[in-house]
Amino acid sequence: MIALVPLMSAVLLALAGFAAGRRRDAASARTLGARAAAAVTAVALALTATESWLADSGAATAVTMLPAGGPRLAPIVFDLVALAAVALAPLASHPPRTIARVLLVLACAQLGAVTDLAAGAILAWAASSWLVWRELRQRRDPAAGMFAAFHSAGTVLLALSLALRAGGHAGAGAALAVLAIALRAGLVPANGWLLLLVERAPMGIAVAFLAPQLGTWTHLAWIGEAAGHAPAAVLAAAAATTALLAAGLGLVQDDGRRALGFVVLSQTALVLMGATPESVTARTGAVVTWEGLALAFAGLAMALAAVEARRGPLSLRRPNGGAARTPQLAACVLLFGLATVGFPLSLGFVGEDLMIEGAPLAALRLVTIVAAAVNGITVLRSHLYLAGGARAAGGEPDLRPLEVGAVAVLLLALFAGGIAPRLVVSAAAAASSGRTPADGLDRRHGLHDDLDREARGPRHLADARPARVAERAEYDHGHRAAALPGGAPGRPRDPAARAARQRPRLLRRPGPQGEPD
Amino acid sequence: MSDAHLQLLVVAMVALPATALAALAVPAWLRRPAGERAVNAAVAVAFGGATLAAAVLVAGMLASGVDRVVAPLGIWFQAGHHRFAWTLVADRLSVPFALFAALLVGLIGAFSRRYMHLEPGYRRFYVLLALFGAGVELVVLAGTLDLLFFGWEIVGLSSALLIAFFQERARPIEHGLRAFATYRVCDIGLLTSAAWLHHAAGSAAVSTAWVPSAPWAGVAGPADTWSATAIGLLLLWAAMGKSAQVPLGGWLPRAMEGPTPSSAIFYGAISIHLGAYLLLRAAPLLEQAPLFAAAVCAVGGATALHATFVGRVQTDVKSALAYASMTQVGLIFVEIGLGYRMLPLAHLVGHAAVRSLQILRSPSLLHDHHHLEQAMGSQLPKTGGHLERLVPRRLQPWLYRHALERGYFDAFLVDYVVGGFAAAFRALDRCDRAWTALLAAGPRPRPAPQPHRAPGAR
Repeated sequence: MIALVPLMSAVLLALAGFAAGRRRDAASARTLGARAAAAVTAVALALTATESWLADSGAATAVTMLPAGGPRLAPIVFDLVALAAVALAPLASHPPRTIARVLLVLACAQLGAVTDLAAGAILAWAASSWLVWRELRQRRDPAAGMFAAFHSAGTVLLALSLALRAGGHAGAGAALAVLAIALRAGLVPANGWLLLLVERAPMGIAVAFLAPQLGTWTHLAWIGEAAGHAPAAVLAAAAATTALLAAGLGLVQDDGRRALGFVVLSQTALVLMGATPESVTARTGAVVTWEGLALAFAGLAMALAAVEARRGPLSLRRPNGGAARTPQLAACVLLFGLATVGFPLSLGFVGEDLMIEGAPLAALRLVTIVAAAVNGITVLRSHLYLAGGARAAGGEPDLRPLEVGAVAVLLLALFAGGIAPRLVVSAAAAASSGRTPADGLDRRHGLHDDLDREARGPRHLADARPARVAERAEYDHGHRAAALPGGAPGRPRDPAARAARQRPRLLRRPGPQGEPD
Repeated sequence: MSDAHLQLLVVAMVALPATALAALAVPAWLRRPAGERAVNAAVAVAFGGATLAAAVLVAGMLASGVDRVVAPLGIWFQAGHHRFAWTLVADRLSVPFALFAALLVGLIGAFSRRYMHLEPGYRRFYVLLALFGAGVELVVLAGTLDLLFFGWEIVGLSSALLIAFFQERARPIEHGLRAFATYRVCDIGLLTSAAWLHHAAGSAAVSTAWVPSAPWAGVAGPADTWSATAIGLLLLWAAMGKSAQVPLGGWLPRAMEGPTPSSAIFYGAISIHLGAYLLLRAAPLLEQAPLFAAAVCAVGGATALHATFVGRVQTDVKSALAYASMTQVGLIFVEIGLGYRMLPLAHLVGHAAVRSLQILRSPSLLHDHHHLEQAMGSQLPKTGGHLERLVPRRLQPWLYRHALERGYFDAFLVDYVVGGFAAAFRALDRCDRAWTALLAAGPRPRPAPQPHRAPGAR
């Protein structure tokens, strides 16, 4: 099955990248890239809105708008990240070649969502890593070698894991998958490359590579319960440790970039920890948090890059000054920072609430709460020290119109999504429910009626209506109807599912109804 | 008055401040900030309207003989078995507090029109004031602990940003950060207790769990006493941070860095009493877990004792008033722990009114003293002599030193708790940098950057 929105986005972003790379000056490359990213986002949203029409018309059985599994809104999130990473890119550190690579890295990230083939994820990992390595190498950054080592190993491990799984060696495949995801997500002790990337690389490159959180996305979309409980538990434990350590380390940094790196590492680890196969609620929360974190981190990192371009290195030792002259930029740092850590009114708050409620262990709940609290302190410290203080007027301008537009779009996505999250949560729940076995924790509360109905969920984003508590009779009718061959009366057998069962096992990804036969 | 009308009034008490916030913040973001008069008018209308709605609600509830108005606003989101519901509850606990809070915020807004006139950041002050007002109304009227936490965080953020209002100086920034850090660490208790209640009791709602001592419903705990005790202690931890109880009260005198109107409303009137409000709302847990009640008493008593001595050695009026606030809030905690319910509520409202007036008048204190002395024709009599008679003479120097050092709590927290944490993680950071350098086979860890200085700046 082909997902049109990520395919379209990948192609258009790649074309925009090539075109931007051929520009002579950074300003025109940035303008071109930002406009292209905005246009791609608009087209993606428009195509998404037609999803239900496509499904109802039965016009195409092998084509859908959004990816079937994992974070279904991932293509739109990637497009918005591209907009932020390019529109706010400082010109001095982002020549046309770098802006081109930013767009190409995000185009590669889209590739993983185009099909339900394992090759897509492997290609996304490999291509995005190669592009970032090229950027570091051309800048003669000594960290390029370390980066290449980690991500070569990660990509190879992922490919091996999927091959082993297809070959029937589920246990070994799961172990390698966990290792691959740990490397990609930068879990302790493999976090060095992530910090160096954030500290040294152009911020647009760091955002393009880190904001999609491909390791976590792969876990949500591909691995899920197939990892098995033991490897998933190991991954969750490693993620929990990373989340706490990174939160504490971020708090004691004097370098703004390094503090940012630890915050995003900690929050990413929280998402990975929440992506447990044991709970629909927690997985839904992980998907929602993934989406919020991608957008918020993109905005925060690029806002910090804008501050750095105007005032020099980001030191948190003493107030840097300048908020009076650049109030919009100061507000950006604060708002995106708060959204990154899941402050109320932001999309991250919704996700973290679901992760806390759905966590199978009390310890995981506590880790989420503590890490988010500490990261919040780091975020406010960054805002106060970068915005506060007095300094001689340097003539730095506040946000430019292009930057204001990109920031407004991202803030709207984050806070509108936080205020009215039902659509996002329903899409996340629909994607998450097909990945899990019966959730024993939820059944303990005697609310399995709601759980089963949630688990069946809407197949398409446009059909995502909030579930309501149903009468027992209505539930029984629906439950019995769904158990009949062909599903509920009057509903045609799903041709996509039938086609999926006919494909070779190696190329199949579990559909929304569970493992293929 | 019908139920629907009463519910509408409850919703209005939260919606009006939120609308004012949006009306002030959005134009400011779009670089079309309103003038001072428009800003002031927006806040006055919003909080005047909220006050009026609260007053009408009180009248309506009395006329209808209704003890409790529940305004369900629907399910915000849900997944699996969990659903986050927006439910507002107006009862004998929340309505007086909400009415008083709306009235006070409105008055402070009116007062600040002259006090903050032409001050850089005038609009920022009012945006934060509206944010605070909306957060407080949400905390007070919340029908679940989850929703209460939502408002609680907003109040904490607005508090920290107002402490750091004069952001050109370093001290307000440090003190704002200190207050926020204290809030965040203590808020861990509130969120953990809410999550625990969901899993142990099935709900964190303000239910119809009435207790004989309290004329309002509260948050009901699980059947197991030990779980209820643990949840209660977590709530106490959250309340200690917000209400500046010992040993976490060091942020309060430092919070007086902010503008005087915000100091009055936050640390004299509203914000500092939210911890007590939370405990009153947890009255069923207090009944169920005697250890929790005893802890509340102990914390409140220790705070009252500590603050009454420390307040007497302060050399500036706002710090003295801060410790006076701390003393009274400590006493309110004692009253709550002893099982009183209406007394602490009355104490809370009365104290908030008096203290906010004192803090608003504090910049004029010297003028007031001069006027009084001129009227008397002599110096004002010395006060506080009763303590000198009660405390043995040989203990007085020790007590004086102890009070000057603020009980050594600040030093302990900074040097051992925060300092220990920082030292440990800095050591870990050095290990991380060394490990990264080893793996990278060569690149030196990037040194911490020096703060940027403009050319010619000192």
